[in-house]
Order: sequence, then C-alpha cells, then structure tokens
Amino acid sequence: MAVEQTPVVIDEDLCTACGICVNVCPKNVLEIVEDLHIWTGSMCKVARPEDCIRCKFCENSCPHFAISVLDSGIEATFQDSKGNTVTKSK
Amino acid sequence: MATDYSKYLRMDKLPLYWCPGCGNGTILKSIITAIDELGWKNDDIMMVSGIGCSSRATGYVDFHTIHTLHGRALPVATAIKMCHPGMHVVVVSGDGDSTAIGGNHFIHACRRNIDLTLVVVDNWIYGMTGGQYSPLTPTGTKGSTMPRGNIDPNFDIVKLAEGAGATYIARSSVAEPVILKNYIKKGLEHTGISVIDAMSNCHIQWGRRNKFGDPVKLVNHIKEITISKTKAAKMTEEELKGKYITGIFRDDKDKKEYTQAYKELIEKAQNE
Ligand code: SF4
Ligand code: SF4
Repeated sequence: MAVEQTPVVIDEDLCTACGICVNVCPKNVLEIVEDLHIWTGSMCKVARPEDCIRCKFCENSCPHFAISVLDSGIEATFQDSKGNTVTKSK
Repeated sequence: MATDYSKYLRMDKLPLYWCPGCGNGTILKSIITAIDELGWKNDDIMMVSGIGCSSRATGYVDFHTIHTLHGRALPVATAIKMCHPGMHVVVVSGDGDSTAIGGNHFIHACRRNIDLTLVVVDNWIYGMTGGQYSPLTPTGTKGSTMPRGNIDPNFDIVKLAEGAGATYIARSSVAEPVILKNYIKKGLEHTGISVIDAMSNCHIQWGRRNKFGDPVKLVNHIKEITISKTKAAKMTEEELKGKYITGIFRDDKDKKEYTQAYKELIEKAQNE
C-alpha cells in the first residue's frame, strides 16, 4: 500500500525558514518561498518532491525538528512539480 | 530507520525557542537519534544542564531532566550518578558554562573518570547573556565585551580534557550531523567520562559581529575550518593554523570508573 504524502514533509509550525536544509540538499528539492503572513517572512517548501532521493541530509541538519523523510523502500503517492500523480519507493 | 522524535520530546513545548538555524537544535537531535539507536528507555536517562542557550535543551526532552546553576551542571550530574549508578547521565553544557564558569568542575570530572556523557556545545560565545566572549572564542574575533577583537588565546577543549584525564574525547560539528551522532553514541556507550566537543553555529551573537550573520554561511564556514584527523595528519603546521581537527582522540577502557571504585571501597569497608 502506498502512503499518500510527499517523500519529504515539512512541518510548517516548526520550520523557521533558516535555509540550512536547502543548502544541504544534493537534489535541489527544497526551496525558501516568501510568505508575509508568517513571522519569519518566508517558509520552506518542498518544490520538487519527485527528485528526492531520501538521503535524509535535510532531516539530519534541520535544527528545528521540522523535516521528516520517508525511509527508502516505502511507496509514496504524491503530486510532482508538474501536477502529475506519481508513485515512488526511493 | 526513521526516528520518531515525538517519543523523546515534550511536543507541547515546541517550537524550539532557539534562533532560526541555531546549531543547538541539530546537536539535540543528534543526542536523541543516538539514544534512539541505542534503544534506551526515557526513564533510564537523566539529562542535566547548566545555564545558557544550549542548556535549554533539558526543557524539551522527555527524560528525567534538571536545569541547574550556571556552570554547575557537572557537580549536580556527579551527585546524581553517585546516587543512581545505573542511570545514564547526559550533560549538555555550553562553552562558557563548562570551561569558564564551570572550568574547575570540568577538569575534576575528567580526572575522576565518572561515567557521564558531557556534550559541550561549542559556539564560541555566551549567547543567552548577550554575546560576551568565552574561553573558546577564537582570538581576534569580536563580541559584545570585546568590540575591537579578542586578545585572549583560546582553550583547545580536546587537549584540556586529555590533560585532565578524560577517557573518551571526540570532536565534531553541526556541519556533519551524522558523524556527530556516531561520536555521541560511542560516548554514551563508553563507561567513564566522555567529552564530546560539538562545534555549533551562533550566527546571531557571534556571527553578526564577525560577518557571519547568516546560518548557512556560518555552517559552511565551520565545515571549512574543521578537518578530520586522517586528513590533518597529511597537512603541515602552517596549513593547520586556525583549523579544528575532528575525530575521536581518546577511547581508553582501562582506567577505573569512579562509581565502580566507590562501590569497591564500600564493599571492602563492610568486609573489614
Ligand atoms: S532546516 Fe528546518 S527550520 Fe531550517 S528551513 Fe529547513 S525545514 Fe525550516
Ligand atoms: S532527503 Fe535528501 S534529496 Fe530528499 S529533500 Fe532531503 S536532502 Fe534533498
């Protein structure tokens, strides 16, 4: 059974948009997006979930416990950056 | 396997009070992941901290915790370990907390070789109290009490612990969180005192005064100035100037642990 979520999930209540995860991601999956409705003035978003290789660099480096990455091998169904529904397990 | 952090954190206390991008969170996460990998129960762990930004860590974790006086985390931890030798005692302390205000306690805990795990969050500054320089602030850099640059030579915490007689000494940084976690894990497993120098980024109090006001920039800087032991062996003294060598510097299993020695003393006295 595939879970319906992106392989990398950001908890927006905990994220402080520091940009450390964006810096360490080798596949350029994450992005800081301006959002003036929150106190930090921006928010980290999963921009290209289909490129994620589940290396967990972002999860290990995030200082605010805001990112969780699925283990490699778990099937996930999600919408990629072009709007197509895809299922990937790694 | 993925770590379920909510098992170890007091989730109602989140989000963390630390500044965006602060390395304290990364170090706390490394400690939690190491404990998760060891499979220890929350109730068997005692986390002790002094005063400072990093010492706020005890407020977030769901172990037995105690937030003590400035610099006095080690004496309190020593007392707890003596009363409960079966408890895993972890001490989280900042650089100022452990080497300046608690400097004396630091060398004596190392000398006694009591079974504690001390994680020194080495961010080169007193963060919470307003950016005063600590004994680990690099010479020449600025802080609120040294606006023209620090003239004090700084401690090398690894050499200090070595001289004082600690039996497990390692250094790593937030730029390599997985290696840091592995070193902490080894330190937790070690019987005797383990000192882990965890280099961290304070881009607000140290960084803003030294042109490193951005967390990403400072983490990348820390990555550049930390060099692994094997790489450093091939470099000249000149090249190593201003660099920090990372790795495990001592892992000595022969020296007697303090609570064990005390237990033997009690048994000997009882049999007399
Ligand atoms: S590292 Fe964590 S807190 Fe920082 S931007 Fe990424 S998700 Fe947000
Ligand atoms: S798991 Fe690796 S590839 Fe995926 S978002 Fe995180 S850093 Fe990028």
